[in-house]
Amino acid sequence: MIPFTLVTKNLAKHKLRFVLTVLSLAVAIFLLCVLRSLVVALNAGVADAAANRVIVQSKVSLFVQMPQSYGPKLKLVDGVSSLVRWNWFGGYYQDPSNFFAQFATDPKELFDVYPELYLVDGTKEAFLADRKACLVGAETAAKYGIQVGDSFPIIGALYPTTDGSAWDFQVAGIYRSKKKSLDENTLFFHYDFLEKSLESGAASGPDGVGIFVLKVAPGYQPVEVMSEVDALFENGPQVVQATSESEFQAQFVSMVGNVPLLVSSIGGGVMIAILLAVLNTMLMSAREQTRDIGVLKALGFTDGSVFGILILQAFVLCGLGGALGILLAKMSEPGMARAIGSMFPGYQVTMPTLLEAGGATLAIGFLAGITPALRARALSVIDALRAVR
Amino acid sequence: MALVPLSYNLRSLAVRWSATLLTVFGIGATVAVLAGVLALQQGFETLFTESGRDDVIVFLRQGATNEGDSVFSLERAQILMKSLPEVETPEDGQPLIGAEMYLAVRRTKTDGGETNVPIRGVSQRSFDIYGDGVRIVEGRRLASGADEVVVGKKLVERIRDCQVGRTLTLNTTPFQVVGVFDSDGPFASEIWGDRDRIGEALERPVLNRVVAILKPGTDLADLAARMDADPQVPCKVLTEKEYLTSQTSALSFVLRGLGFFLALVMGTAAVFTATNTMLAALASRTYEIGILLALGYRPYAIFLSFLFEALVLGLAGGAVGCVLALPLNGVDTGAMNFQTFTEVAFAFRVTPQVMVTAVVFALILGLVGGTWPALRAASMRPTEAMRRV
Amino acid sequence: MTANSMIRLRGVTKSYSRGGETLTVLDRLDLDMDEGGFYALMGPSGSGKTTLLNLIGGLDRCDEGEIGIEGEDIARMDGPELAAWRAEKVGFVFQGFNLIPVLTAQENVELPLLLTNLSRRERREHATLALEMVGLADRRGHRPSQLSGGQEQRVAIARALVSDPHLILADEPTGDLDRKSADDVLGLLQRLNREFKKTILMVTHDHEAAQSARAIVHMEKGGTLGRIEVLAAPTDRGSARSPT
Repeated sequence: MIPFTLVTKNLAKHKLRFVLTVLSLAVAIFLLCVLRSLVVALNAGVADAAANRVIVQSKVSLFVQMPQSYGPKLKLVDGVSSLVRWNWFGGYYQDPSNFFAQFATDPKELFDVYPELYLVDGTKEAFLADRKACLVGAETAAKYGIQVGDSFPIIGALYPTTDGSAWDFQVAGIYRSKKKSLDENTLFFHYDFLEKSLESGAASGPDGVGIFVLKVAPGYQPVEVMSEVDALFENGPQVVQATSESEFQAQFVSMVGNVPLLVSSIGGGVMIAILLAVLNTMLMSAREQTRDIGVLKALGFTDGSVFGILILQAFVLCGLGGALGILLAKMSEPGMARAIGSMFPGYQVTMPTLLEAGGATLAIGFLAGITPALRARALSVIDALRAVR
Repeated sequence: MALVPLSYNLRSLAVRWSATLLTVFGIGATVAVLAGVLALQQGFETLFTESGRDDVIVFLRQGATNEGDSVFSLERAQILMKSLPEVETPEDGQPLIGAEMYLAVRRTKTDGGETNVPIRGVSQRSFDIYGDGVRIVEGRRLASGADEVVVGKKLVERIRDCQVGRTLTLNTTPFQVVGVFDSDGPFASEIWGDRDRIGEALERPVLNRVVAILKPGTDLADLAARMDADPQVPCKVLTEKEYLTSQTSALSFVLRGLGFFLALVMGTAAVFTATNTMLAALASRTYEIGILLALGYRPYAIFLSFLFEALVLGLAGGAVGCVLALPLNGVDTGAMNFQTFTEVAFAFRVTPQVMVTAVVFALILGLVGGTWPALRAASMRPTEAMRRV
Repeated sequence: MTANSMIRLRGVTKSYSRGGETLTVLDRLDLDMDEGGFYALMGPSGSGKTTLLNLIGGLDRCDEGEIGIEGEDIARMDGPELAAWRAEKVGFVFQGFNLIPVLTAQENVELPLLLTNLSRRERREHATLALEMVGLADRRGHRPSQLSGGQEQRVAIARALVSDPHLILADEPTGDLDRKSADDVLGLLQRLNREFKKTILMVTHDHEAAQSARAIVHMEKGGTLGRIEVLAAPTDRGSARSPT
């Protein structure tokens, strides 16, 4: 039998201490959620990768383009139903710090190969009709206040124009994606526009194709398509590497290095600090309750009951803090996504993250509550009654 | 004016040793995490800035922020190199100027993941220019015009096939690893090969930067202004030190941001803990405060006494944090250089600056956490304080 | 053993070891107390009064001997059995009142009832009744810090009687009280004994307080029993119906 009023009233006895402990817990759990969400964002593309897309890229380097001539050859590979070229543009808006991804791509095929892509504003027709048109991710559009019909001047760091001016893209649509395989920060524009500008000498920069994305027709095995593609260019001029989309995304995660390790180290530090803080509070509180515990035992409450009273206090305290932290993490989600979206596209506080945070909260509650609870359980009535209040 | 003897505080901390320890370690964990992130940032920054030389001059394409973005065609590079009378010419009659090719290539880590390793195509002139900055520590220098490479020391353990005697395949061409070189800077994470052979193997007939040593007394600002306006090959001129420093900005920004964010969030939690502990100290010493006030001690003396106690907590926490972070010093790690998207290896550096920052941070935590309890202690009336037992 | 024996101790021995030295507090003690009695337990410091009270109340365990309470030998019970037994059979009144500071008077009194099968409403009614009995119904919402010492002790008595135990054990119940409050508390105990037939055992060192009992059990140094003095005419402390 556990007198619950005693649990809540003991917690509320030192209001300031209670509030401060709950707030520090909230802050720690919030931090944990944010850190975890960064790792999730990093891996989001892997999890949501489509099975019927094959990515073809240079085996040598991420920064090496493949010859244009590869396109027609790839289209002839058995099982390839359509193909999209992607080329990294590497520009920025107004200032180099306003960085986000821009790609030259094939507008028509883009919608076919990426069915998860849809427009929230503007029309596909408008995008296809104008060679200077572009699609802008909803997050980027919101960040820079860009709307359909605007012109979006991008300075080409990798593809500088001959006269030094910015590339003038016309915003034909704002897109979102139903899956994390595409982020909502990117700008897509016509590959032809880039190609013609290079040919005419209006701009300069590396010629070629960054990656080819192949859509595999139903009934064909992507693995077979991959090996056929690999074999096709085995002897150069550029050796290629055909991979599944999930492997391609995983490569990026691997390239970014040991971010998950860094993040878990920090998370570990946060958890240790907060555990010590909550333990401190629980020990203080338990010490003040020593005599009460003696009284309860004298009245006939069992050792199990007083154990329960003490550990429940820890759980209630942590539950409140944890819930507040989780709420904070969830509420700050849109803001955080906007703030760090260009570096961590797809920042999202997912259910597993929340569950993990909940688990961490319970673990802290348990670890912080168990010592005083065990002590209370083992305390003899006589000793407890002798304790000074 | 009489101050409360400081030994009272130390004794008070010792009596409530469990709360003191938990608080000190709580602050310690917070400080250690911050110090760890700062040590990472210091390690990264030191690697780049301290190895850079003021007398080595780097020429990049106008508008480029790094070697990856900077491209010179072979002809333009030749024109550029011939248009520089400022270049130092030693007795052998060959000017100390060399063009380099740079590309981040895909390599497999020894643990299986994929990463981007910079490969630098150089001529013998580069070795002359860097002098002691690049030292062969195993095997030999590469021979001119041969399919050979030397690898940076930091790659030997981390990257597959980067050991003397092994063969590295670039695109379709096999290269023999003939030596290992060391450098204090990021070069130690690079692969170096013969410029012409690498360019041919990668099907990349371009150059990325030109490096030179100038005649003593050359005015760099004049040269920079001239090259900026050069009608044939306009380019950006900066010292190697300036160049390397600019390479750290993105990651340093991220790490500083992370450090600041963590300091703010974890610091809040640590302040709450410190406040809790000081409030407990206040509660258990109420009677003593009453006596001190009755004896004629002024409230501000009580205030200072409590603040001092909080500062001792902070200082001890800072010391614990430094001790916890110190083993990180010298530990090798890798991080992504966001500018070139390549991974560089470096060691954590717990510099005096990091430690001072950590301790100051800890003191601030103690100060902020102690202010409110100290104010409360100082605002007690003697009669009230002595009654409350 | 007489039919109406409430407490029956046989060969009860209790010793503590302090710094390697064994200190015998109670030495093979035999003692009988009748049901419905009001006993004052007196004796010099170290005569084992409080230890004896704790043993009878099942708060402490003896090394040897039998402690029969209403025919049950509680010396043979394990921890949980003893806890359940305490909840049902004994009410405690302590020198330092020992109310739970964060709970109101009402909640303090209700506390023992949580261990019964009573519904929430029944608990509230019983507690109110007990508080009325000690004359503090109007203070039910106050916390201990808002009550005087005498009032606190009366709340503690209400808590001791609320679960209707046959036996009430009081350890220096008037030790921290002024004369007037002490008289109120003693009057209450007398009333519990007379009207409600509670068996009461009260440890005290105050001769005047001891005069309220019907019999005084004297303990000797070394933990043995002295004489038992039956009081023909205990001091009547009057009704506690309208104290202070």
